[in-house]
Amino acid sequence: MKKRCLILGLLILVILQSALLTGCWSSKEVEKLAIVTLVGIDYARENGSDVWTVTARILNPNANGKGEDQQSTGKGKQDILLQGKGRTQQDAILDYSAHSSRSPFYAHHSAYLFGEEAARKKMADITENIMRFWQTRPKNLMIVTKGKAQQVLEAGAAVDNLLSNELKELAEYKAAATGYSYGVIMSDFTAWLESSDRDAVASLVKVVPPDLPGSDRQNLMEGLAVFRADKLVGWLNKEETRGYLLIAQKISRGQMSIPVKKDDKLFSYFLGSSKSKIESLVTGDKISYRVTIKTLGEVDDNAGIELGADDIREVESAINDRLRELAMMAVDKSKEYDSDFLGFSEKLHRSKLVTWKKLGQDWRDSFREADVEIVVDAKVVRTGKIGKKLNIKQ
Amino acid sequence: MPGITAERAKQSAWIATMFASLAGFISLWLVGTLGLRFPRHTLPQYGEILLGKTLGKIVGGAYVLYFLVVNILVIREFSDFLTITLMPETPGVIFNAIIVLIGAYAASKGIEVIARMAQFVLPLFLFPLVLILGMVTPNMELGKLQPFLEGGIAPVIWGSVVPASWYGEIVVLVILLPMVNKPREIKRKGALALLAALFFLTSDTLITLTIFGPDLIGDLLFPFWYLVKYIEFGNYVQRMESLFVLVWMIGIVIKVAFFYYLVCFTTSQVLSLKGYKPILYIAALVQILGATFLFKNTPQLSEFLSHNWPPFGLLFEVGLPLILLAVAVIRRKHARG
Repeated sequence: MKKRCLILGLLILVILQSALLTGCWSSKEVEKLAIVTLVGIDYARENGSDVWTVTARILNPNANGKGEDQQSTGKGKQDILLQGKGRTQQDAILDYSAHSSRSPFYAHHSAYLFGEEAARKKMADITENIMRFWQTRPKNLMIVTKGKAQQVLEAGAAVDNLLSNELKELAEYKAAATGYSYGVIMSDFTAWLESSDRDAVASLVKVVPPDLPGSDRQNLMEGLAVFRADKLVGWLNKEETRGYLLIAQKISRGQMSIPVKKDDKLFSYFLGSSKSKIESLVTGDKISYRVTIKTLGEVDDNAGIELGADDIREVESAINDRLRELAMMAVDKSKEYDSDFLGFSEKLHRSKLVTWKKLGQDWRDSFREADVEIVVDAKVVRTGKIGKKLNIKQ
Repeated sequence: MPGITAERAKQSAWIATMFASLAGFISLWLVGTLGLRFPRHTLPQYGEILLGKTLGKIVGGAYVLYFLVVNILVIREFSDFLTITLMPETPGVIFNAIIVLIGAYAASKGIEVIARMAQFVLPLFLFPLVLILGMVTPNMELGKLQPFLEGGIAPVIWGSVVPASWYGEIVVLVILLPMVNKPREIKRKGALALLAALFFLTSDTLITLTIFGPDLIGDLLFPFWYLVKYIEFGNYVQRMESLFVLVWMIGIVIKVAFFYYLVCFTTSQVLSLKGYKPILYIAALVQILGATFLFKNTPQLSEFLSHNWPPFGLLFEVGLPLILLAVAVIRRKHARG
């Protein structure tokens, strides 16, 4: 009898379990999700009230499977663009999701794009909103767009199926290596905004008009957006971005080609890796900084320069001058925008606490007045060529 | 890693977590010394010998309350974490009920089952933890720990109060000591356990600090969870948080089962009951209801955990054992026989 009761009890348990197996309250079928891959946030002030526009790219639910249909439709059908407008951010987000029967799902989303106006005026609010949302991830990219974020999302991907994949790959593997930009992630960006001694930068993407006949509008990740406290204040172009990378970041596996002029001949320094060290020097009341940059690379197209052991030394000094120029450009821009995105004051804070405490709120001023000395030690490790210079008659 | 520690001690939070372990060692020493005087008695029993019947029962009852509150806090943290990070639509009471039921089952089987469970789970727990910490080490930036002790030593001490009340939970030995096979070794073994906890808590704090920096961590509700989300190696290794949640849940189940057992067992001793099983039912109800209704929302819970709880916790973990030991020394009481 007892055994029978036990078996009965177990049976009931098993049946109960099958009821539980369907999931809890929060279970959502994949078919019910709208997988958001990119979100663009635009802000405008119209007739005295805030207008937020949120544009999202959502995976096309009908595009999975590699049927023949898909081949005919081609790329661009992989994801769908949705847009919503509202008086608050949340309002706009709900507005765009009202266009679809599925509920938005952000766990696979790779980047936030901010329109220029939004970045200039409302970056604190936006960061607060996305950083504290539980579905976002620390490695979501922070991208500022020139003009409206919507335009970038409309332009779509150039090569990849999905714009989100393309942006992610670009930011992660190519941007810093080629020296075009730097993939800024959410956790770093927020930490910069919150820190008491450093300003933030964000990746910059712009829509470029078609150069080639027949091509559509394309996106280009080039340069950086510079913030002062929580406001966008300006841009860095490609060369200044390289200066930023040389000073503030560590480059490894680089594929950066830097044109250098020597004896009126242009050749390319192919930068493979770089390391930098910032030192803060305090003498009396005067604060100055010394940056030591060490790079390794090769000279690829030698443009008729014969690279013997002695020549390399001369070439190296030409490269040093050029790299110093690039780094100085970034420093000058930093002083011009009054935004210490290169991390000089951070270094001062970390190593010279007494001086830092005297500065208080005026730390940006102290950086603006400080001298910056840049020492570059560039090495040419290889020529990258398998033979000597060819004797071609001219 | 508590956000409050980082908020108070900033980049020196890792020193604060190290410093906090002092509370654990003090508590261990007190409990160990008391235990050696009364090797066959638990705290409610020697409390009565030392303080007399009434006062002893009150102290015993207070410890029941302490275990109960710790367990309710753990259960509530568990359900809050799940509702915030994984299943926002599910009501917290469901999680509370599920974990209390599991805990009740384990507790009804006795302390040995819980101990064996812990033994079995420990490697399952440690391996992913080491894996996770190892995977983020390449991203560490040691510079973020500078300037060293920026605000002096005071914020570090303030920041260490919360983790100190965690280390102090080693006070559970006041009940467990008579059940241990070799009570004489308890101080050494306990110290080893504390050192292990110290190592993992400090390295966790250190690594989280060097990746996110002190400003960001102070504002995060679950810094370690965020750290796990940070792990991303290409398309292959990412979204580790599901592994982490699984492992963490196993740990929580053990903790809840263990404190559940302590609540029931101590109650039975205070009330001089023969067995603790009848109390399981009442305790289940109290814990589910307590975890669900004691706090209205998460901010209230974290406020309580970081401001109100630590002094109480430390009172039971260090204060009361100290008083009992003092009384024992003054009245020259030892266990009879």
